[in-house]
Amino acid sequence: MLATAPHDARMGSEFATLLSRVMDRAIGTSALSALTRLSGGASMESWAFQWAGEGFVLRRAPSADYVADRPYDHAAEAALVSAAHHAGVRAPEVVAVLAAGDGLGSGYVMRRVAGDANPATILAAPPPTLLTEIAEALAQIHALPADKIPAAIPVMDVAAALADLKARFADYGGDRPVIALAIKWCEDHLPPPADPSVLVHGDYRMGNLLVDDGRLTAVLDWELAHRGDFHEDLAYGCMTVWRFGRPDLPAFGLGSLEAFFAAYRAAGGRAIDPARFRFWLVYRTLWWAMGCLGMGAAWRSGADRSLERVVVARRTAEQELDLLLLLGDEAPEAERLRPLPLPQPPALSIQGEPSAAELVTAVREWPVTSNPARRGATNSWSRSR
Amino acid sequence: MVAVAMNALGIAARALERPIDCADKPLADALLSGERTLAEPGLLARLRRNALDKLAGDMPKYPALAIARSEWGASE
Repeated sequence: MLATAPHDARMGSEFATLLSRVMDRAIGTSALSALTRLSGGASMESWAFQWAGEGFVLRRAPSADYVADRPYDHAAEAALVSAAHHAGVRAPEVVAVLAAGDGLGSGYVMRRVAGDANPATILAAPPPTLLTEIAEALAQIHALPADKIPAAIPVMDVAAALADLKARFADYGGDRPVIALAIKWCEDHLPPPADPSVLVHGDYRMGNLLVDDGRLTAVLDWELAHRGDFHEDLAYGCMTVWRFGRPDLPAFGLGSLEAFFAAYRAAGGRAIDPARFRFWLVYRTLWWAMGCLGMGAAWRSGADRSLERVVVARRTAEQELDLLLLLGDEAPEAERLRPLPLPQPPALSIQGEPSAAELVTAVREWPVTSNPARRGATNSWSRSR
Repeated sequence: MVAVAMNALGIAARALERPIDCADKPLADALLSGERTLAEPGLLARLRRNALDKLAGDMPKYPALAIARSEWGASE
């Protein structure tokens, strides 16, 4: 995890006092230090701090609105992370769950695990056993006994979820042909319901996997966990976008699918159905395309007016490209081999007064130091989400 | 944040210089209903060209862009 901003002065000492009370209760009397904002958007925050000589991380939503559009609350999420941790899965250890009287919103505190989750760093010099460890940890998650999964963790109804994506697509204008193609493909290839007793992490990919000294040390971000088809977890980290700078390596940007599947099987993982794997690869690529489009809608509605939202919304085209890479395989050979039409030429001439494009380019080239609005700004976008 | 802001301006500058419109409601509707499919001559090639041009404007550094270009036999 990367520290991205110093202790936010707005929070003041009241935040530290309230958090100290929680830690007194959970660990014992000590003093809070090194409180640092890690990451998060408008609705979710992560904070790192020291207590009694050890590192901890607080995940919290300041407002109760967070829970409104979530299938379960932070107490259920914390219970799941705890259950996974105690079953031997590399999940963080939860030490405290925020209560209503704590005055800190909803959330929970975990013992901090050493490591870095930054895909660029990890994939630049990938540890040789990392893919195997990722497969092993996933097999452990999928082996968590059903009676250890908190009752609040829902079963995913895939047909209903797909219908929901389709409805959202219509809401966003319903005018992107590649997304329409993917929705139709998913409808035509919807697999029969899976064993509903299996835990699915739901966000198992580079960026949520903590690596330290060549080892996988923790699986983070359990907020999308549900019960359902474990192939979803196998496929999600293999999506092109989550391979980051190594799209040539289909499994997590680290290796071949054969090696990944073999390691999963060797760790006691469940029997893999290639058709289900492919379904989830397409489905979750479609899901992320809709997620990107949705960020544009959230910005426009005023729900989240952050710059990141608008920019991520323009990443929809990444997912459309990936969907075409996936679904183009099923077109007739003559279509797959057909030469592409020529690209559109640039629209504007380079004479006369500066064009709108040139004005924007000029602003881009304006030195940051002479622009007071930009001075002191720091990069807070370390993890795409 | 500066990097994100510069990225946003880059997207805007490229879109002004070469507007790419991916939106096509009648085609999307026909694909959704199955009335039109990738078996239609020229449709896949057109979608590929649009996807490449749109992404070159929006996220030119996306690593899979080069792979798609080469797989689909597209020139820059």
